[in-house]
Amino acid sequence: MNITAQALAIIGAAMAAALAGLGSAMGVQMAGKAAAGVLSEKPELFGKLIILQALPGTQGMYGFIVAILVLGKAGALAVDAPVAEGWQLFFACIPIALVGLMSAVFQAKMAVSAIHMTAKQPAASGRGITMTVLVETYAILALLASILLIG
Amino acid sequence: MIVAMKKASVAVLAEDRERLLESLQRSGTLMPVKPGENIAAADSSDADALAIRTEKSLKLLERYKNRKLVSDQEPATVDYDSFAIDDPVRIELLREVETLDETVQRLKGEAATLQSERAALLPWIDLEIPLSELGRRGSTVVHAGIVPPSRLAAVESEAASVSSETSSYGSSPEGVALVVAAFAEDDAAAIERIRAAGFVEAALPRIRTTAREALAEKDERLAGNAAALAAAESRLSELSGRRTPLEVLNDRTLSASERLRTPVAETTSAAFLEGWVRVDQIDRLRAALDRATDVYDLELTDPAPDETPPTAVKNNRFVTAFETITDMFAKPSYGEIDPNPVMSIWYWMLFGMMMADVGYGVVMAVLFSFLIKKMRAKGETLKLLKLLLYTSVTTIFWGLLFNSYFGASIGFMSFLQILNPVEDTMVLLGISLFVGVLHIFTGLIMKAANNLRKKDLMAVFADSFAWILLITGLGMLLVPSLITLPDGAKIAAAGKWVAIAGAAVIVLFAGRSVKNPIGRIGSGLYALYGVTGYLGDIMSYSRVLALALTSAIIGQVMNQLAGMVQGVHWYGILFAIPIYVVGHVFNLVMGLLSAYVHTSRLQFIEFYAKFYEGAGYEFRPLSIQSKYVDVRADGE
Repeated sequence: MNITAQALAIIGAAMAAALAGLGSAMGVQMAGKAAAGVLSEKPELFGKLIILQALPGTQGMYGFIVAILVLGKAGALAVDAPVAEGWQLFFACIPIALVGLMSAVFQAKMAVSAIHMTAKQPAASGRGITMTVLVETYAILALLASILLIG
Repeated sequence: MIVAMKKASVAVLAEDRERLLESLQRSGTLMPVKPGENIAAADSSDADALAIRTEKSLKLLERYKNRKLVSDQEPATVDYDSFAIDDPVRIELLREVETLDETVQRLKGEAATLQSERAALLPWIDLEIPLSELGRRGSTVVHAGIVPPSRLAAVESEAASVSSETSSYGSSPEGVALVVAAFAEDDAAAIERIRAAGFVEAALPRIRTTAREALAEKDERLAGNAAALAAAESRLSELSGRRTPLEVLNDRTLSASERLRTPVAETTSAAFLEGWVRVDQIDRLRAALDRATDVYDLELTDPAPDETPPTAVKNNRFVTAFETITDMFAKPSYGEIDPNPVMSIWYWMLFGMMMADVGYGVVMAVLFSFLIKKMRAKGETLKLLKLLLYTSVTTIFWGLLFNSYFGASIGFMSFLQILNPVEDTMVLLGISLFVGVLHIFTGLIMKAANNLRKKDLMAVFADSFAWILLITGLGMLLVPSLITLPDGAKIAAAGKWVAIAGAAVIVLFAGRSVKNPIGRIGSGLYALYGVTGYLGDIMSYSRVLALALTSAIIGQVMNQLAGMVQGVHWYGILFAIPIYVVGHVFNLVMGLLSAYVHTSRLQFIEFYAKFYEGAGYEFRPLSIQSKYVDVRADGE
């Protein structure tokens, strides 16, 4: 049995949503654990720490968006569309799937450091947030690459 | 703008020192600096200790607060005169709270002891003899103890085998209460064997009453204890309702500690103080001095070149809200142009572009004006809430341009629509990058303005103007190859020369500090390499597209999900409404978070990196510490 273009696109969409979402789930968990530890001592920092905890959560949303866009394209494919078109959509999902997975975890590591920094110096939380956001740049570039590849 | 500062040197008679400090603190106009190397501040440890005590008592009262009283939320306002008086009522209140706290602790400890004693006696409630008569009674020895239920049979048979009698009473968590009577002559050997079988002797108090009587007494004491505890706690919650004197005491003590820590040089007859004052507050400083004493000397000087005055910024209401973003990064240096006015406009626009939804904008406007009213926020929180309120305007503005209302588009509003982010992705990418170029140019112009202020015209030309030329030229060269423009070829040809002109200026002048001509060109070429940095910066604005798209698509997906439920039957709307609400609240919250952090990032990394020094420190005058109460400083 030959795989159809549609099936390939759907596999890609599933990977984008699943891997990026997995990365974000791990990332938010890592940052959340660190934040909970700090909050037990300094509950007043909640507002600052929740931002840091949420930062690694965006990759999952990027993966989700790519999945939605690809599913839209896959639905529009003709039943006998050339398999190459399916491969194109499949590979369009790769950047956000892989970069989303890894960058969320790396960003979470940065977020944990920023959370510890905020615990010692609450005034420096802005800098911690900025440094953590820098990691996300590459997830955004991957998202754009995926969107451009979807075409 | 950044407020100019003057160095104030104040000299007063030594006996006026305290009055001077109080008056200065009330006016909040002078930020003291050490007048010399060897001036030690006075010892503030007594005041600090008192402040810790009041703080502790206030925290205690907080726990006994009556939550129903809404008026409790508002900080009390006291006028300065009653704040300044050392009212003995306050310290008495502090002592009363501390005594009550000790009483509560003691009663709770006693109650715990009574409870455990009671628990130990409870299994013996049916034992008829006074507890002091346990032990040797005539020819027998009576032992009271506990046996785990699983060992009970073994203990009893062991006791029977050494001709001891047993009788069981109540049970405790550890096991069954058992009394063993053994003959006195072979008691030691018998009890040894019974113990080995699992009997654990209980340490009962040697009292002349039975367990039942002892328990009644414990219960009575527990009731008395509970009544005393309730009385103390109700007194505490009553005091919690009128804790203002304690709050005043706390703020007063903190203020006193602040005064004590102010470095004042003193001779036998004179006290001497130095500090920074804002030029727009010099009159208030003079008024404060006049109020303190008739005999003083005030000398105002401009900051010396080797001195760095603190930074105070003064802006209109709109820009003030955005100062919190800059302060999160770094305080402006005293000598540079305040970046806040320019940054605020850009923040406002970029934030709106990332959110871009009329519905979300309206929700933000309603929500944040409500919060500003309701929370009575102060300081940084208030600034942030206002910032979010202001950005609701641009959110609505871009929402109209994208025809997005809670993720859906409205047909008859499409005359305002310029593009659809989901379909015209490439167009929006182009717009985002173009906005980024303008933002970066603004940063370069700010750099030029700062250099103009230092009268460094060469830097204006080579470090700002040349880069604008180069980037404009590259843009003219590149854009016609991406989209078809009329006269595209001519634009590209002109762009080539514009770019070359910019690049030439950079190569020739960027290394102007290097004397050696070859080294100068080399360092100019290296500076030209910085163009890759600029390209990276411009690409970074693609996040504007990414976030606008994220917000739009998630909104649409939520609408689709709700629509699927809604379409099933006429009552589907009942199930659809929670999906709409939860979905859009989620998208709004995530969108706000992303827009807030990513717009800040664009300001910090892409914009401020071009010109902003940000090495300032905050202007923090000697002022009344109003942690709990608002002090109305009349006449200020």
